[in-house]
Amino acid sequence: MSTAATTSHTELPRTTATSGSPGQVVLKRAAGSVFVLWAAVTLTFFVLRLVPGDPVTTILGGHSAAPSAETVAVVKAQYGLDQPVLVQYVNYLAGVATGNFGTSYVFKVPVLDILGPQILPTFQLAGLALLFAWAIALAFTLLTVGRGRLLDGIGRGVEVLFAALPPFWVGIMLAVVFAVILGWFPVAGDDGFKSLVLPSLALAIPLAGFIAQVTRSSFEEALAQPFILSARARGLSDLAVRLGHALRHAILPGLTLSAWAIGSLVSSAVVAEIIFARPGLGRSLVDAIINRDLPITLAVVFIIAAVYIVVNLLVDVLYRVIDPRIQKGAAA
Amino acid sequence: MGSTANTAKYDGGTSVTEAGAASAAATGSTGSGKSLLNIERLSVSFSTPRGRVDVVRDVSLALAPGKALALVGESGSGKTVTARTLVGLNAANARVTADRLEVLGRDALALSERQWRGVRGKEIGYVLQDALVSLDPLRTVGQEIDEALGAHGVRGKAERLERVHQALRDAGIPDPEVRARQRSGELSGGLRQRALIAQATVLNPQLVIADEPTTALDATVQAQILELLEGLKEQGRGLIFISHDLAVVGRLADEIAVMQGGRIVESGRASEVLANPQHEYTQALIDAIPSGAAKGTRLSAAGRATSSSAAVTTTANGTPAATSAAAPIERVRATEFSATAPALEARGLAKSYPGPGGIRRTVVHDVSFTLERGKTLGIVGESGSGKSTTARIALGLTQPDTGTVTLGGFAWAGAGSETVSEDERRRHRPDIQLVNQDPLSSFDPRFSVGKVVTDALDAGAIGTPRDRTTRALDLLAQVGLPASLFDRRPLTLSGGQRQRVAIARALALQPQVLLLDEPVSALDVSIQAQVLDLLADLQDQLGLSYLFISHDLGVIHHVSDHVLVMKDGRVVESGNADELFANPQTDYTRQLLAAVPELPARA
Repeated sequence: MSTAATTSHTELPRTTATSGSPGQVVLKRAAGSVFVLWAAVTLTFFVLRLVPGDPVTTILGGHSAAPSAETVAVVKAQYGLDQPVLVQYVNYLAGVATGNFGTSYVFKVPVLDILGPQILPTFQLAGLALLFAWAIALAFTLLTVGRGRLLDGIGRGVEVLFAALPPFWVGIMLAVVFAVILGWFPVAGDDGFKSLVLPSLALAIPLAGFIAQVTRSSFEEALAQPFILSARARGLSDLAVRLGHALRHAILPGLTLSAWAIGSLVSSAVVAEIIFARPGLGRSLVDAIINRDLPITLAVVFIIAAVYIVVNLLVDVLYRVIDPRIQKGAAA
Repeated sequence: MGSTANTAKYDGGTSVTEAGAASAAATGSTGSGKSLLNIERLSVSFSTPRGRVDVVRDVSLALAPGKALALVGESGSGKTVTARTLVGLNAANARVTADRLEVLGRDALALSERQWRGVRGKEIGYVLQDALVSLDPLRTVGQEIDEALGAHGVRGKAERLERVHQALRDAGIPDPEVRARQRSGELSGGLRQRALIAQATVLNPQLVIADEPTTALDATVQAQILELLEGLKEQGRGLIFISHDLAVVGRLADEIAVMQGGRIVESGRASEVLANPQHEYTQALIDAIPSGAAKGTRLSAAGRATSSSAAVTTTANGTPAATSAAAPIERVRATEFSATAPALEARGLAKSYPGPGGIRRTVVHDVSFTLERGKTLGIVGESGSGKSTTARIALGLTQPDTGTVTLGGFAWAGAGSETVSEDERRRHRPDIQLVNQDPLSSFDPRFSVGKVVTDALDAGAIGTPRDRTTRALDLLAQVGLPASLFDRRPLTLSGGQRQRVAIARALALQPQVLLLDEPVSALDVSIQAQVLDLLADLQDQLGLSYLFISHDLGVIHHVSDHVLVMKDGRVVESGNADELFANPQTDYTRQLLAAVPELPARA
């Protein structure tokens, strides 16, 4: 790892960050975002039509209900299902553009009324999970990299172990140890910060393994660079060099990884939400897919896509703050 | 820190008081400022998985204020480890022992890490080799300098900013207010190196250690940096600098210590060591300097032992190579490389690129040259002079905007109606081959040495795979490498061996012209001498024509029959090498020549 990429610190880093001036970036990103949202909605819309089963059956309460032909016709007209698929698609897009995601087939109320209260708990969960993941990853990096073979080995081993653990198993173990046996945290429910800790740790621990592996190698590389020696020769302590110089270089690749991670956290939150009996988008999505509640499924997909976009934009901005060379490099 | 405060001198009228004389008297047990260094029998060893490795053995040094001590030797001779010991920054697995290790009057062996931090930066400034990687690329140079002030307790934002600017100014950087806000990547090589010196000297240390401070710099920039270091010395500071280049050393050093294999093999007054070297290793180092030696003279000791007309059958370390000179293989390709036309001829080449703000930047402007068969044409110029673009056009890799190139009479590259397509060129590609500065990055890291060479033969599809293996072994022998290296990875070879592999690869398809782009710039002087000797032998044996690009005038003088001096994309002067160097016609050439450090005449 340390023999490869000896020149990486002198060249512009490889990154997913968009090039150009801040104004150009916002424009490029805005255009890209609209496209991504459209593509996500369109793809999901048509794929869900391919799933066997008639939406009308769902609306009327499943297979046990045996509706009359008239009832079916009325319902079809009410939900616009009597029109050709393409017309339905255009109507749906028009609705989304105005903020109307339709009516849930199962609950018979506007989609946003159902999903609205679910959004915040999931964002809290995903946000805290990412925070924990970074805290764990940075702790490992700062405490074990370049601290002798033993600590290095321990750090490496624990990271691989963390990365290999499935979140559901971590969740169950955490619940058993810290909630059931020790009683430090509530077993389930949505009751303030305390009830957030275990579910977000369940998501954070595997993610921390991934992030730490990336930051470890770039931290190692940075520590071997001559500018670290220069800083030490100026009279800086080992800790100051690690925090002030090496860490900044080590964060960059992990940051790119985080953009992907937060999006996937929102969708994988379902595991923690089910184990710890929390409300949330992930849970709503699974329920909606099982019940063939198309409008809710579509809306959740839309929200997740939007989160991906916003987070990537944030990471882009953060990347520029940490590595100012990108802008200059693009301008030169 | 307070109790060990040493003679620190601050200029610039800051709030820090002149603590010099008083504290020097207070620390009476120290060398009373007479001697900055007093080292007896210093040894440093590293523990590795394969046991202890001694890197520095029984080294004794002394240095007085206002003097410069040069540590000279090849890579791996222990110079850098010795220097790092003086700032307590050796790797964790290093073991340092000494009968006496006094740095600035303190027993360096007894210093705690905390005490070292008070010394580093404040009393000893340490300047590393390459500023591009020795300054944090994510931070501005101002922040880097400011950090040194902060680490040593200088408070007050305005005062710190002023001292940052002053340090940059002292290091000869114009517009320090602007430069302080730039990062190392935005500065030119010379400014960068000055900024690096500024961050090491902002606290006015008594002792400055510079590790290869001018290596990889252009000659004129190198001269400026040497002047700057000389200025530090005149201010009464002690200067230790490390170099493998004796010509550089000759300009600056009062004392020289020549290191080989971790030991000092010769030391003494600089003028005496250079004029009258006693140890054969010192003599070899001095002989290896190409600048004075005329074309045709051998530079390396091994090269002098064998006659130049004989096949080169000695390896880099002097042992005989595996097989005799390569048996010539019939050229399978039918190329019409003319016997009468010049090997490579360029007429009126120009190339420009779109720059910022829509302004086209001309990087090559009306360049013409003729490379005669079997001769060497040297192109010399500083970075940004258009050498590399000219080389790329000559290789047929970059399309010129105007002008033509012919290769052995064949239309090789051109602009407009004379454009030559790559399809037409491909047949002639084997005739011109490239050797560049950094061979390692031109090798596929997964390839073994043998594979690197056979891969080039595969490209020409000559003979059976077995023939190619035989031929690859012959080629290795031809460049003086033993057959035992065939299965090694290039990463495990020394710099000189790698460059030999690159040359073997370039020779694989029996070219007529070799384009040598800074082929020895990254090598130690003595290794450089061996590679230059090898190239001279190959030219004699194979009748090769060389287009030799370098920023090093000494090397260019030694190898070239004709020389082209380039500046800002133009040819400022060209002509016969000896005449041009003896009697330069333009100011620019004179300026370049004046910047080349030269050794005093040998006794």
